[in-house]
Amino acid sequence: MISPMLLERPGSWRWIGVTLGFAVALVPTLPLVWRAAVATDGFSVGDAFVPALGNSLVVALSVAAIGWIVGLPAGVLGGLYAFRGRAILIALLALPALVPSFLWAIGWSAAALRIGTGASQALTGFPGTALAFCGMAISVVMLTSLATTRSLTASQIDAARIAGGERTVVVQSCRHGATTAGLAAGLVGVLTLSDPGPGQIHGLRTAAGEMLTSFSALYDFALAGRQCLVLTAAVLLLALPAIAMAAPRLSTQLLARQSRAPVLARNRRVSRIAIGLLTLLAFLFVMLPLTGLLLPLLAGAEILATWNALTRTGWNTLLYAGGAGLAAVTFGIVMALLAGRSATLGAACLAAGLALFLQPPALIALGFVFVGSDAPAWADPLLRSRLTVCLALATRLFPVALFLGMRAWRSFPSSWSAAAAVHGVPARTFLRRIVVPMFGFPAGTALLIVGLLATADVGTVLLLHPPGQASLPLTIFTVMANAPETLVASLCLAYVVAAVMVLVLIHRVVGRIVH
Amino acid sequence: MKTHRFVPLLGCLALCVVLAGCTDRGESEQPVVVIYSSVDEFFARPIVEGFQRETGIEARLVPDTEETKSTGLLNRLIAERNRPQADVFWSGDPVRAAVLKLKGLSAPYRSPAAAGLPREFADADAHWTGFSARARVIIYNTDRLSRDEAPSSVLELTDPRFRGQACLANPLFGTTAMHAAALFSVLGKDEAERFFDGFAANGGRILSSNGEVRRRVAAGECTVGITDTDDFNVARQEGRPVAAIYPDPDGMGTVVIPNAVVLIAGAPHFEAGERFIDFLLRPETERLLAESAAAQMPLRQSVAVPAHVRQLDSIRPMELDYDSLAPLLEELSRGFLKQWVDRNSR
Amino acid sequence: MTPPSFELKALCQAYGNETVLTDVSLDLVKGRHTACVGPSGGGKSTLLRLLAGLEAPSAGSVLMDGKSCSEPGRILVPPHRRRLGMVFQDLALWPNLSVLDNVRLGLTGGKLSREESTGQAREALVLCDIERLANRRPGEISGGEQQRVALARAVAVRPAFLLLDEPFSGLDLGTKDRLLDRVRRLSDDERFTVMLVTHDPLEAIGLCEHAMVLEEGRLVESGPFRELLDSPRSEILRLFNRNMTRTP
Repeated sequence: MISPMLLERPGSWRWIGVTLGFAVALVPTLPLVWRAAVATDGFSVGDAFVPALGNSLVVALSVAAIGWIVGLPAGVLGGLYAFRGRAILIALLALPALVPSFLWAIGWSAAALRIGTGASQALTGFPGTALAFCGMAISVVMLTSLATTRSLTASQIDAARIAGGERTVVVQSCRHGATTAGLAAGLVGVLTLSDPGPGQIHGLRTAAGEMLTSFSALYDFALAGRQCLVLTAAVLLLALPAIAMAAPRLSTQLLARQSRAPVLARNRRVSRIAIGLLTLLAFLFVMLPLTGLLLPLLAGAEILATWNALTRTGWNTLLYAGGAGLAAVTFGIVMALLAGRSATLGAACLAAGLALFLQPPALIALGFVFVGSDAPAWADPLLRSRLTVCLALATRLFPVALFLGMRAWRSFPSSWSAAAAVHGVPARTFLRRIVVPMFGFPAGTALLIVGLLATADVGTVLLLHPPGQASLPLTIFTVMANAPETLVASLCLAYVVAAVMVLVLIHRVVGRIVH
Repeated sequence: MKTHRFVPLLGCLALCVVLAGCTDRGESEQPVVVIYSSVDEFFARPIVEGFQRETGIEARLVPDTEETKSTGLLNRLIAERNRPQADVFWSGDPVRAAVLKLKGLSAPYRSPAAAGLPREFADADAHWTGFSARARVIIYNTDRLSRDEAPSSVLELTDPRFRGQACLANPLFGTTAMHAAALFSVLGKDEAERFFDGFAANGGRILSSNGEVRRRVAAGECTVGITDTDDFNVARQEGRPVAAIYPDPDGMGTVVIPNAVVLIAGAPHFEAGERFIDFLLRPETERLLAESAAAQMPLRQSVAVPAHVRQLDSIRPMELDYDSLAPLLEELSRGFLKQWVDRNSR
Repeated sequence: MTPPSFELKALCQAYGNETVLTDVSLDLVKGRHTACVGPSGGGKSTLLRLLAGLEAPSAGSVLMDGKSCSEPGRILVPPHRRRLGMVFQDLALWPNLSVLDNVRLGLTGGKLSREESTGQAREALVLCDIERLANRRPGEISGGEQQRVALARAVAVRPAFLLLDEPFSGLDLGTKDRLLDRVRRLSDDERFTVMLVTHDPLEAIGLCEHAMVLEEGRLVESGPFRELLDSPRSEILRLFNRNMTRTP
């Protein structure tokens, strides 16, 4: 019998397991990284790359900061209080994580055009680029903070309430979730580094734009690989101090003596503040750019063409999102269990996860394409199928599940394993009956976030989808250049409505997403 | 939902994903052709579906995004070279087709359906064949400029009267890249560089795409811009206040950008690929593309066109060696154009 | 089956550079309830974990019936084969399982059939007077009730030794007294021997006739509780004596 104490035991096997796991995840990047390494024209990244990298880092830091400052209290308020319209507001604020940043950037640009030249000028360059990403940052940080707040016990909240009223409750809850939210914000900031969209639309030179140029204009994979390596090194250097500080604070253990789940409180004054804040955020970061995207619908909707596109791509869209989410959550939680409770190993995992997150989707996707092309035909179900799309998406996004899984595992008392060991519960029974179910909520949150981010990743789907198996977001991008604006707007509306329906379905079935 | 039901539910979902993901169509009994296309899906799909209806061959279309929006299908083709999935590449311009030839990814095919297509719009070794073309035009906002005030040459965009009012798409990507290479080819290095530097010095704006040029000119934020005829036609159909000029009719001429179709070397469905190319190159397809929102000019004079579509002989095409544009563009993209974009972006 | 006896021989435990236990030797005799008292951080919980086989010692050994069951760096007899029940400091109740399932899962090591384990679990709930809570979850019951669930889970396996790691902290006097009384009665009825770890000698004196005092990882004194109290060498017992004799 394998003892459940194995899950608590330190040892070099954890380092070996985690290293192997990340090595497997990095395998798809090897073809291009190898080309970069063996290139004979020296290690040049181009003259424009370094200033572009500077721009990207400023955008990333700004977006992370705004996401943290705004998303944390929004998630805390949503997690603590019941108020009118709560579910709808939270679902609305979850949307930016779902929609590709390109579309938000176009929406902002279109909205600004309608407002006037001054608004367009104001969005040019840095402001428009950062604004297009802020919605996603606020969305992800809000969802993470909401989950963190819901993991507080009723007694912890009661204790804060007794100490200093609602203000103390909110402040303490924000402090409780600050590290987690900061890491989530940091992850989103990192995501912006590999996304060329908003910079392209608003005319800001970014590192991702330079890499896109290397891929799409120069077809120079080696140059793109080198630029990617430099980007990864720069970000890790900047992020490592924060990671080292944050890793030991990933979670505090739940007090097992009193583990009542908190009930949403009703407080008129705070509810008004919550409604005001969430409504303002929803208006600024969702409704405004969405209006820009959907305004052409005033001239009419293309119902038949939209329906055809939906029937052709709807199932694939769900499959890619759900498959990526499941693969990412499974791999992420296994890695979280391997990482255990060691602060050092936790910090190393966060750093490696960050490095993976940084990779442009094209790098990983093209790696899969290379491997698939060199593999024999019998490997096609794994390397050239819709499953491949799910795996490629999960490869880049599983750090989200790893991070949430690590946080969850470190909040489980080690005495659970000890009690199981004393009573002779085998490790597999302990995992099945206790650990996996207790991972349910964080796994569900991770699945949702990964699914949303995976849906928005158009580049990976473009490069890997089997012929005829496109997704709806990809279809929007392949028609938008010259299709009538009414068709593009109709497709965007269908996409948003379908996303809201999926969120409502998840809420109904699982029953805990927006609690 | 009780957590102990959650786990088996997730397990079932996972099984569904794996089964659905792995059981892709693959080889079926019905013949198949796989088409990668950089032509806008909105225009390409009706043609592809027409082929499928007529021949009974299942046509699987893989369309591309605009180059500035993703890494692009051409990179997928290059990465798949050892075991291609595509049979045919339908390109919106001949430069990408020439890139495929340069990289050894294309196979020669002289289609019998190509009869009547001008030879100057095809590869001499039959690695690609041109048909139905767009043109690079100057569009202007009719609320802000009259026909007489509008420029007749792209070189006029450096004129002070258009200060801060002109725009074009990023010349590192797409048809604007091809246009830039064409200018260097025809004008020579010095004059072409003077044009680009003059454009920037005159406050000219670099936008992300031809579609963005169309939107900004239609909104009046820019007065003039350079874009493609299909972009202009979309704005015209939407009733936006724009008009187009085919530039330099008395000078260097207008850049004509034919579609180009390529048979992929090592294609898994070679014969079906050839049949699709035959379908694409016939006059009927040129007619359909002329009548569609793409409003593309047929290269055959015999094909009838709607009133708003120009015939090739009604404009002065720029004389270009399309084969030489690909290596020239590669050199410019690593050199002057890259530096120019970097200097004039934030 | 004859209940085992345990010997702890020169046990040492260190985590990295931090030494938690130094040269602790002790005999646990069947039928003789033993208290392990001392200030917080003295190594009491670590001693319990070594005895239970949850950790291997850095030096020394644990013998069961004269045979080695833990050696430096090795656990030779796993915890569930030592016929122990344990109540943890934080109770270690599994929050997603009902009270009945918490106790029933604790019988997994006994290889009982489902009916047998359900029956034995219900018996334990009855013994601890919490049968009415069988379908509730730990988060839905009070602190004192949670304590009794943890106790029921520990006694359900019919242990020879019951290890209690500060099980009464945070409880009011009345609840503590009732629980102590229940443990006393259970130990008489079910014939198990108690080892109680506590930082409060008042809890121990009502249950245990033998005591050991750990301070900073060292065994300061051990022996019959009354004798230790008559001439205490350790600070904690001296303080305890002083408080007992002080009148307002």
